[in-house]
Amino acid sequence: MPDVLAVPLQTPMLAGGAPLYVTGEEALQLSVFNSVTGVTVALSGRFLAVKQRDDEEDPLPKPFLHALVPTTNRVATLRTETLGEGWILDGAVQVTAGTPLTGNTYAIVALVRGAKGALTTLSVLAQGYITSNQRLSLDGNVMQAFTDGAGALRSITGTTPAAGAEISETVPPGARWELQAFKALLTTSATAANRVPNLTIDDGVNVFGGWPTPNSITASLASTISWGPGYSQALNANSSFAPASLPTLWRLGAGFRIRTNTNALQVGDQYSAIQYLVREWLEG
Amino acid sequence: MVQLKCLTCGGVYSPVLADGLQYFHVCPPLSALELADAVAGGKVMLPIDPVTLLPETPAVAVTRRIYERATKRDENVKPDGTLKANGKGTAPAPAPAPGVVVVP
Repeated sequence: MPDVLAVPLQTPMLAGGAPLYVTGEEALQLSVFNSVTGVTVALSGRFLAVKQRDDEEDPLPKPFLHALVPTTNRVATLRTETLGEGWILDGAVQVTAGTPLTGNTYAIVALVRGAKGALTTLSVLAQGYITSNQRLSLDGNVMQAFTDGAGALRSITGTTPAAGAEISETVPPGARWELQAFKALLTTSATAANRVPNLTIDDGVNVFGGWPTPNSITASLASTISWGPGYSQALNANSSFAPASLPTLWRLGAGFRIRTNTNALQVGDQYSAIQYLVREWLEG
Repeated sequence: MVQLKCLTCGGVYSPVLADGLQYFHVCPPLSALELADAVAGGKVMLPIDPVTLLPETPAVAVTRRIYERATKRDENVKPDGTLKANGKGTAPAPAPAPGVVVVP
């Protein structure tokens, strides 16, 4: 038996300040939830491989970069990469293509065991929203929740229903909305009736709120109904807008619906020009 | 901008919005008028109104419960990436007038 065991050692000078040691059986996993088209996300950093033999040169840090094009349906898109045995010295997640806003693209970087099949998450290195200019650092201890922050401000054009039908807009899976304003044009037929549009919100089954316009809309008119927070005045007959109030800070989960239910809606009445403003967060 | 018409509900929408995000159309529940047609066509019966002791009117019924279309289209995706419900499909629809018109 030799007097001294030959144990390969890394060069201490290159061990880094706060490196993360991996054995080669672990991998970095990038998960991205996204709602915008044209986005590419990259996980990059530097890796220092362990020194395998005494007689080899001291390894030097090598950069790595793994790109991922996430789907736009707010469902997680994954990329898992092994790095070998050594130290992850540092790293970042950044948007390399596309222009997502805060609230559009959310990334999680985790250390997992294995690379294929059933993986075990060992630790989470960073998670939060990323934009063209806002990145995530793997050593920055950033742990932003899905519903943290200001959310993405979105102006959405809704479906124009058939004549005599009502408006219905559904919060998509993986999203949480805060309704800021809702506008629709109601063009009434010549049939005499006092229409009262109500904006309702339901959870997919049960209605839990409804807000009528303060004034009825009569025949042969084109009224732009505008629901928004802070309204307290009644209809001005000389304005093309019919304002109506809307509660503030209502957050709506996936599957919740924003609908109209119009008293005395007539066969030839037509809703159109539906536009609404929401703040959107992803919800993984 | 591409416009589609839902062949289930007749709604017209753009599958990609101006901000580049996808729009996932879902058919609305029946309006009071559509429910009245369904009742007249024998497709559904309205319950007795406990107040009037007569069958509910469609206008009252739609405030008490939601009447969905049997062939409802729901473009939101399931975890496997497929549509929740295809309904009767879609057809191209004429593009609407643009929101901004530049006048020379």
